[in-house]
Amino acid sequence: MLSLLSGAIRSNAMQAARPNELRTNAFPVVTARVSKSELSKWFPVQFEDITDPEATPEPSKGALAKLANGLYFVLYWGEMSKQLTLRIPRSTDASDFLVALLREVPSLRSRILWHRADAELPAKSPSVRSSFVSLKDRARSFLPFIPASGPQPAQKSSRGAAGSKRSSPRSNRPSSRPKAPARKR
Amino acid sequence: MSASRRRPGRFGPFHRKSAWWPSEVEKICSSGEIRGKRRGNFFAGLVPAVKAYDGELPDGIVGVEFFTDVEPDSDGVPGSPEWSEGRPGVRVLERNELVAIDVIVIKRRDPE
Repeated sequence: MLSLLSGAIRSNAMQAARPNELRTNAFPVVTARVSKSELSKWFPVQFEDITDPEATPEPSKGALAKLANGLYFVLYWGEMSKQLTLRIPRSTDASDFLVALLREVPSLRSRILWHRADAELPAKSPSVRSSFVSLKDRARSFLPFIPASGPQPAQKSSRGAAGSKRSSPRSNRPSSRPKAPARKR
Repeated sequence: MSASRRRPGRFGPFHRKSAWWPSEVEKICSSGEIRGKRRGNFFAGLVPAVKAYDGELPDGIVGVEFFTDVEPDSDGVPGSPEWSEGRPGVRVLERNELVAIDVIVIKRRDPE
């Protein structure tokens, strides 16, 4: 029972692929800076050492792996540069690959150094906090008595943009907000 | 163009770090070529390619700095140029196994 369960879990995550499972050339799609421990944690597959100077610019680790959705990719990680390079076959849609990859390894997003022009990074899923702020802002537009929340990144940016482009009656509202903390003092 | 600004090759500078393979420095300098194989380990149809890094050889790093007249692959990773089999100027020494490009080494740093 336990083995059946663990098998089911395994099938929903990335796994190593046999070397002959991918028979077409793979091209770089994304690079990231990751530590050795992150590499083994985020990509739990068997790596091989590549140490031939004619095969690699620095001693590296490499693996052929498969995402849960079946997309193959090749990983290379440089021992000195700590740079991870992922390669995919031409037939794989680069944006689809990134969506699937970041679904399985969300922490990788912040480490990305470069991605191919045709590989679009998926939009970040909105946090609970920003969703709350956005709902509150929308409510305030037709219920003006709702008090403003503290300075929020989303509000700041929208105010800044509005302020820089046009002066509107809305700009009077934020100016009253800084006075509130002053009164408290 | 003034002599001081003349470049020894059309593309460069690039460098190879050779701290792990000290004999590579002499090999490159004496042959005037850098060789490249497939990365190996996988039967993913990977073509052999010469691999290097962009820019000058960093201070204190064992290796060579070079120029070449062979244009790097256009679909590579920024900072990590490669010259793959099939590209103009890339010499095939062993089909699907080993390639080389001619280089002009302008700096070498040997292990102490």
